[in-house]
Amino acid sequence: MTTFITIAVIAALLAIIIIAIYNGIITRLNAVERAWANVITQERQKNKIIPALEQLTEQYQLYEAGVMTQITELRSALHSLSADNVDTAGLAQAEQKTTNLIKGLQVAVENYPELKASDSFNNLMREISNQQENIGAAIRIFNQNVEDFNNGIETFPNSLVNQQFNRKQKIQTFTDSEAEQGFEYSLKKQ
Amino acid sequence: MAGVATHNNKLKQLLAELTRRSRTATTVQDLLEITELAARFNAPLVYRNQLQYVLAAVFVLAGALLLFFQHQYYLYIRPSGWTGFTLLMTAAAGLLLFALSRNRSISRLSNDIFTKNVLFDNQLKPLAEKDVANQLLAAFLEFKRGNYSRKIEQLYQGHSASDNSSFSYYFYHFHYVDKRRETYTESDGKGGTRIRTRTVYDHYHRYGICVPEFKNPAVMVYSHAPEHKLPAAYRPASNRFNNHYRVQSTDEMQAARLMKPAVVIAFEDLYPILQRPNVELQPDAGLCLSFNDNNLLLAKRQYSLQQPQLFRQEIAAHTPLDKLHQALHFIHHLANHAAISLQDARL
Repeated sequence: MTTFITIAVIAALLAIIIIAIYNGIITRLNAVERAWANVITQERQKNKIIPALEQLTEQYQLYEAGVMTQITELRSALHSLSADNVDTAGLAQAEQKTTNLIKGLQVAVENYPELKASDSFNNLMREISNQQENIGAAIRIFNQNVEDFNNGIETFPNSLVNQQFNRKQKIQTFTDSEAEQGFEYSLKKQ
Repeated sequence: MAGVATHNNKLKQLLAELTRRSRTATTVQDLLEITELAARFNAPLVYRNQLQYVLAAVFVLAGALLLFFQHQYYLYIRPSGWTGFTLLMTAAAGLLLFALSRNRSISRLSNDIFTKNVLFDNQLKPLAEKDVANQLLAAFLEFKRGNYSRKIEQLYQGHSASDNSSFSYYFYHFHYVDKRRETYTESDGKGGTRIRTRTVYDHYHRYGICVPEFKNPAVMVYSHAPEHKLPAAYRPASNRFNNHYRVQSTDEMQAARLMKPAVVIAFEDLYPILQRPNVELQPDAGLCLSFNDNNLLLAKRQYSLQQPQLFRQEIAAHTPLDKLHQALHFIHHLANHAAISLQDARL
């Protein structure tokens, strides 16, 4: 009888540990998904400034600089992003299109000093800079959560539980130096 | 011996003058003049304590001789002998303490001058007005701590500017006391124990920066739980942030609007710099960043009035308060993002 109780207690303890680890992995995965959705939400904030950019392009006829094409490409890249699937390649593409557009704009406005000095253009650039800062920060949060998740499925005994029950794969962090540069705030730099 | 007394008297007069000037100093220039005055003193700024040391040695020797001769004469030491010995030892210790403490007063004066210099260098002004302290105590939930007493012990006013924002702020030292009853066991003198109760006062100190002109709906981000909270909880997406902080607001949307990713990361970066940081935003009172660190206004002094030339150079140089600037940098960052969030909310 004592042996049976001992075995039952050990089995119950084991079951509790396995359930805790299983739930921990799910919680960390949910945190990764939430952080990813956050990145996409921040990326989609760019949709708010695209109409203003189009208006500027038309007003100052920036067609020859290819700005309109870059706007269309960015819109398309943003449209293809999904908050449900972690797609770092799609995110890299949207970030690349954003970089192209910002560089294109900077080149184009060199021929239009009046535009470069205007409040509307400067407000727009400030808004883009603020958005890029938030995207950079959202990516940092995503990467932190991915690291937590990966640690959560690779360390022992979590790796055993994941192998047998969760069966989740390691997630790649997002590395894009330009996107990360968009987020320059650091207290440690002081 | 007359020369020693003259030196000590002159030094005493000089230190009294330096102390008076230090108390009334309002600029770095005033402090520099104090160091120049010290430099003009044609001798080291140290009390000459030879007399005190000799007298102390005589008293110790006299005490020892008293015991020795009593023992020789009576073959034991009488109570009067012990009394005399104690008096002589107390006199010797008093003389030594006096000698050491009056030289330490020079170091204390150097500290006072340096502390004032640090405040001037960082545009901080002590505030004695109780009205401001009382307004702060009433405005923020952060100060609703301590069931026995709560008081703002020190208050300074400052101004900070960055590329995008500038604001006036108050730096405070908050002291609160919790009163509680506790039980303890003690010996009853008969080999057993008895249970007694006593009143215990727990003293706590928090420090912080309040910015009255920071306007935002009520949000609290805290790592040191306040005793009073706002009703709605909010959790950002960051695991690291959620490990350190909790967010409360009047409604979840207000918190979500403020806690953009860049703000969340700023809070994460603040955590290893300040101990148990809290941020409270109140629509009418502004912002209050509070923490446990007591060293934001402290800088390390290298020299003293005893090296007047070097001390003068130290006073003339700007002494930055790095931790204070990091805290202010955080507030500027928060102010910029809160302003953008408020604009977005109005659109």
